This record gives sequence, C-alpha cells and structure tokens, in this order.
Amino acid sequence: MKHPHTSLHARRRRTTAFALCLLPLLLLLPLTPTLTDARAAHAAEAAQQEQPQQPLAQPQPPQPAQDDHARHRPEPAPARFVRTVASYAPPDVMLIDMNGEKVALASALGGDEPIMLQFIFTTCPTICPVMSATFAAAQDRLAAGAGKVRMISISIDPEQDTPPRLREYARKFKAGSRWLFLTGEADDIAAVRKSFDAYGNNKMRHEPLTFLRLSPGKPWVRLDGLMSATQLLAEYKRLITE
Amino acid sequence: MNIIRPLLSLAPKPRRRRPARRVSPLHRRPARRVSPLLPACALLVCAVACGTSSRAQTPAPDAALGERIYREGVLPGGGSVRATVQGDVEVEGTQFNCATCHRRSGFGTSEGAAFVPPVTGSALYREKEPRAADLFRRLFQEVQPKRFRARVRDPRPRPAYTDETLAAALRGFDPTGRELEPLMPRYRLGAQDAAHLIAYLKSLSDAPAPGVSRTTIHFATVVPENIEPGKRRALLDVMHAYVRWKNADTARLLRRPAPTAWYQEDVNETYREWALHVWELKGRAETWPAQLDALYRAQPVFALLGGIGEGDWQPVHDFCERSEVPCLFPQTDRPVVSNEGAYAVYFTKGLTVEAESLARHLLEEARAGARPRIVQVYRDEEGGLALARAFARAFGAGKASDVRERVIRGAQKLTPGFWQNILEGERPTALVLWLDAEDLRTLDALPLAARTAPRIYLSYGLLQDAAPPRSLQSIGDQVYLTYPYALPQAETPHVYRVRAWLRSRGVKGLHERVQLNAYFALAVADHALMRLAGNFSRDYFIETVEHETENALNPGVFPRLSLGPGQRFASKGSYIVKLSDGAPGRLDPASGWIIP
Repeated sequence: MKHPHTSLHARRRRTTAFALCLLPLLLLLPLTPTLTDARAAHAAEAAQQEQPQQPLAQPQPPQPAQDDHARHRPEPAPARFVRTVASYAPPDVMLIDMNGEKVALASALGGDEPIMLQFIFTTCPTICPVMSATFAAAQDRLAAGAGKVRMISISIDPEQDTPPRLREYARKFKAGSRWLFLTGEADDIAAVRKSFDAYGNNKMRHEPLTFLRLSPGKPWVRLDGLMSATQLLAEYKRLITE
Repeated sequence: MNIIRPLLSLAPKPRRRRPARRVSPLHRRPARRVSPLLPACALLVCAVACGTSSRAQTPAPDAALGERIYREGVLPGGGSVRATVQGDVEVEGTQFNCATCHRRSGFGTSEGAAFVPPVTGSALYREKEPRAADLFRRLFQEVQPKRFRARVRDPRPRPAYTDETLAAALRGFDPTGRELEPLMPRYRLGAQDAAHLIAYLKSLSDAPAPGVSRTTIHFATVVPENIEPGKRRALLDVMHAYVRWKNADTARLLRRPAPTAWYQEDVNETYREWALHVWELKGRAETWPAQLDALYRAQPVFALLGGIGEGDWQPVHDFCERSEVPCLFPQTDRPVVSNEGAYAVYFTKGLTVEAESLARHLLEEARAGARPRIVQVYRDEEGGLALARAFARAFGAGKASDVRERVIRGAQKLTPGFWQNILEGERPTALVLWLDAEDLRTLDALPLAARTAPRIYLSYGLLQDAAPPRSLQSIGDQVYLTYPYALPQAETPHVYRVRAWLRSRGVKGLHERVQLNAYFALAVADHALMRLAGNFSRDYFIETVEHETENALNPGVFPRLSLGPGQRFASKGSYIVKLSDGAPGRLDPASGWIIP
C-alpha cells in the first residue's frame, strides 16, 4: 500500500503539471468562440457535410403558440433544418392510396398546385409522428388562409402500411381532403425513395425529409430536419413568392 | 464445458466511477443575505400548507395512472394529454405519447439524426455519465448519419434529476436550466398528473430481468414431442452450433489483453455466456401451460428463441405474454394473430396469411370480371378451421361474393359422391380445398377434366412437401397453391453465406428451411443483445429485435423480413403459385407477392 503523503504529493505534482498544460489554452480562451457557439457550429458543420450543395437555411424562430403565458417563457431555440434545391425524376410507378385505389405517382404529383411531400411510416417511433403533426398544423393554418397546397405522405413501410392502416393514421392526424397517403409495392416505393435521394436500407433509421414543389417542372425544395409549423409555412410562402 | 465463466471473473473490473459532478457555477444562484423575517415567514407558510393539506388530502402519486399517461397519453380523468412540439405544433396523447419515442422500456431510441435518451428511473435519478458500452453501440452498431454521431458524442452533462426538476423537464428544461430539444414535447400536465407520471418513471425498467446472471444469460427453445425427428434435429443442430460459436467468440474477445481500447472495459462487462435449454413439451396442448410454468420456475430464461410446432401455438404464446418473456421467431403455421401482446414475434401469420392472400387474390379477380362461385371445403380441425375462418373473414370484408362452405366433421370419409355433389350441385368456379394430402387423394376417383373442372386452390401449409394427388396433377394448369415463402428459384446470395456457415460448423443439410429460420432467429437475438450493451431489459430487447430484424442477414426463406414498433409478423404476404410446370427447383407464380 502506498504511503498517503506520497500519493498526495504525486497528486499535487500531477495537478501542477495539468495546470501548466492548461495555461496556454486559458490565454487563448478570449480568442475562441464560446462552448455553446462551438457546439452549434459543430452541429451546423455536421449538417452541412450531409448536404454540402447549399448553404444552411436561416429559419425564422417559431411564432409563439396561442398561450396567455407564452411571453413569460424563454424563447425556444429555433429548430434546425437544411434547405437545398434539387431536381428529382420520380419513377413512373403505380401506387395505392389510403382508400385502396391505384394512383399513378405522376398523377399524384401532377396538377398546378404546390405540393408538400414527406416519407413516413405508421409505426414510426420518433420523427414521423412529429412530421405528420407538423403537416396537420400547417394544413389547419393553410385552410384558414388562401393556400391551395396539396400534401402527400408516402409510406416507406409499404408491406405493413396497408390502406386501412393508412386511413387510421390519417384519422389520427385529422388529415383533410387535400392530404393524400400513399403505399404500394415494396420495389416501387424503394424506387420512389431513391429518386428523391431518400433511400435507406432500414426504415427505422430514416431521415426527417420534407419536399416542396411549386408546380410540375419546377425544382424541389428539400428540407432536411424537423421544423415548426411556422417554419414550414415560411418555406411554403418563400416557394410561392420567389 | 464452461469456458467463459472463468474468463469473465478475470475480466477487468468496472472502473471506479468519478465523483458526482457539481453543477456549474454558472448555474448556481448567488448567495443572498437571509432576512431575519424569513424563518417566521417560513413557519407561517408551513402552517398554511399543513392546514390546506389536511383539508384537501392530495392523493398520493399513483404509478398505474402514470403508466397510462406514459403508454397511452391518457390522463386519469380520461382526457388526452396535450403538448407542444417543435415550438408550435400542438399534439394530443392519442397521436403520440411518451412511449412512442422513449418506448415501452424507457430506454429510448434513435431515428435518423434524432436521439431519444433513456428515461428509466435509474437513468434519470443519477448524474448523467457517458457509458462507453452504450456510446460504442450507438456509434458503431450500424451506419449512422453524421449529425447523429455528433449528437451522441455531445455529453450534455447534468446532475441527477429530482422530482421537481423532472416536472420541469416535462415543460422542456433539464436540471441545469438548459432547454431540451424542440423534439421533446412540452407537456401541459397538472401537478398531480405530473406526479403520477414521475412515480411511474421511477419504477420503469428498474427490476433485473430474470434469466441473466453476472456471467450467463439463459435461453430456451420449445420443441413439442410430436415434431418429426428430422425437423427437431435440424433445429437443434443449428441452435447448438450457434451457441457454441457465440460462446467461443465471446471467450476470444475476453482473452484479448486489456486494455485494448477506450471502450473495452465497459464492453467486457456486457458479455454473457449463452446457455440454451431445450424445453420438450409432452402430451396434449392443454397440459403445456403447466409444463411451461414448471420449466420456467426450474430455470428462468431471458427469452425463448426459435422453437418449432405443428399445432396451435396459443399455449406457448400465452406463456410468453403472461410471464413477459420475449419469444422470437418460433417456426409454426399457427401463431396467435392478434393486435394485443408485446412479447411474441413470428416469421409469418402462417395459415392465416395464406387464406387472407387467396381471398385478396380472388376479390381482385372478382372486381375485374364475373362474380365467382366459391366453395371452400375443410375439416373441422385445427388447420382447416383456421384457414376457413380467415378466408371467410377476409372475403367477407370485400363483399364481392358469398362463399359456400362444406365442412367435413370427425372421421367422415370423402367419397366420389361427396365430390360429385359439390361439383354438380354448386357448380363452383373456384374450389378452395383446405385439406391435407390424404383427403385430397380421394379426388383420384373422379374423372376430372381440364375443360370442365373449376379452378382449385390448395394450402401449402397443410400439404407441406407431400405430393398432390394424380388427379390434380393431370389438370395442373387449373390447380394453385398458396405459398407464403420466397420462390425457390429466387435464391439470394445470403443463403450461400448461411449454408457455408452451417457447413463449416459441421451441421449437415437437413430440412433446410428449418435450419435457415433457426439461424435467423439466433442471429437477430445476437445482434439485439449486442445493442442492449448490458442493459438487460426484456422490453428493450424486443424493441431492439424490432429494429435489428431488418438489418439482419435474411437467408431467403421469406422474400423480406422486417419489423417495426408493435409489429409482430416479419413476413407479411404470400404468393399464389401454379401446380404445373413442375421443373425441379422452380414454382411458377400466378400472382405477385400479395399483402392482404
């Protein structure tokens, strides 16, 4: 067993050496960004590495909800997402809607109205319920205004998400007549996901992607990440006014 | 025999935990001068509070009510929990709730870049300290997006939660005052409802799982005595070979000179020797529950793996749900098809999916053409009844046509007159025969002609590998089979890998479908256990099985195998194949892969 004094001296020596090592770092500290900034920069850098084509979007902070006490609460940190613009060529496949009817994807994406599109699955544990709830909130706000957007949610778990299960999911999120849910053959769904650069080999690892398009022939806006309804509507407004 | 236990005892001991991290001075409130009036005020407040509590009698927090809030999003009064997510999106508990993201186990999950941390009592009421084994598995068990890796590497230290700070977390703040991510819903719970929920969280996944010791994890496989010896051997040869290989591999990992890497000490703690017990069930199925309970009392197991059965699997299924024992991928045509239950997962719905797929196929034909006249013939025994009920239910849901039925009861023999009566009396366009090979052979006495006979549909699950009767082979173009497996000509490269694995471990080829399925069940259990990283919770195990099933090597018995939260059947459909074109090793599909 070591003598207690020996171990104490050793600890002191180690502490002194450690402090000397830290001294240059402490001198440099005022020149470096804060830890919070560094974390944010790290996250933003990681996000940009995922989608290097376009700069990080500057999403607006969300509007406070209708809540009498909202002004007493601290401002929530704005959600992060990455906005890119891309052209996609969806395949010419036949999908099935929540009523069991066959729908050509080209027809579902046709028409002159703007489209919002997401990939979801009905048993998804984390991101899909939030994505669908965001669509539901946007749907309500657009219904109150003059928006004529159509929403499409495509299942990435087509063998599980049969039309009855899609109907049940649509009911849960109070989907209106302008919100279409699609499923289909597994190979066709895989082809659709690949065409949107949204394919992964395990649905449990999929990304929160939302796609917006003004009209056929126009490019798609790809929003990578979760967002508030206000942010989604701001992106929609930007789409139709740009 | 036991090569791992001595090694485990030699494995490096767990590192001494660092002393509790103190809250940063930034978050510490400045000291204030205490007013001399403060003790008097405190006494007054206490007196008022005591008087109030004696009158109002606030009920004690109830973990059962908290469980309902956690799992169903329903408040004690029956209303739905309400919350705001992502800053301004209003949600209700029926849309999603705590268990949707944190899962039933409370160990959390991840999806894309979203990381949902554990909320078990032991995780919350302890200072957060990164555990290398957890971090290692989250980073390297499967390919993850860069944002996810950045997220899980960010330690976000916090002190242990208290009841008060946990209530604040439900409103979006952690104990350091830092705001939680916008993905975490901000719940609008009253103080009493929050107390119920907190009482439940304290108990969540806090009991050690039976069947796991410091050195060993126990599994069992169920094999009734009526199983054909060849299939029994095929199953057990693979399972024993896998367990031998697994234990040898674990021993090799533990023999590595320590310390080899930053994570190794923690990861070594997660290894266990696998012990496989064969539970042989004897006699009638009614006696199985008592046998299973006795076997479980004698040796508790963490999970049932594989297994095989030729009759109703209900007694085993009920045991799994009753004892909360995960039961992975038994090979049975008669699983329990139900939306209830959390612990039994199957390859397929078996006979049920065959009947439902055929109903869907015939309904689509009916929509396209003339109204069919369908007669289904079955014995009032287990398999026939299951098929007939599922077919009638699925066909009835389509409302395209009536289905006539002829039930064969008890020991009734099928005669040419029986068949003539159906063919001439009913004049069916489709004859669905849920019968085994012996009953079907009675058709040989009929002069069936290709031009006059109806289309005939048979169940592969009832026939198995028995040859269809001569009479049906002679009109092969009109005879179809439901076939809930991948087509034999569609072999995937994976099957060669598994065959090579089995061959190199001295497992002789025998009932290959049984062998490949047994291998798959063990491989998924293996991957799921690795992901647990020593957190031996049965709920967490099932949740990781749901995730790993799609990652695992599908040896190709079924076209696709995948699960998800709450999904209980990994393969979802069936083919309809023609009996004709009997080229060796080929089946001619008459339909695509039908998902009923």
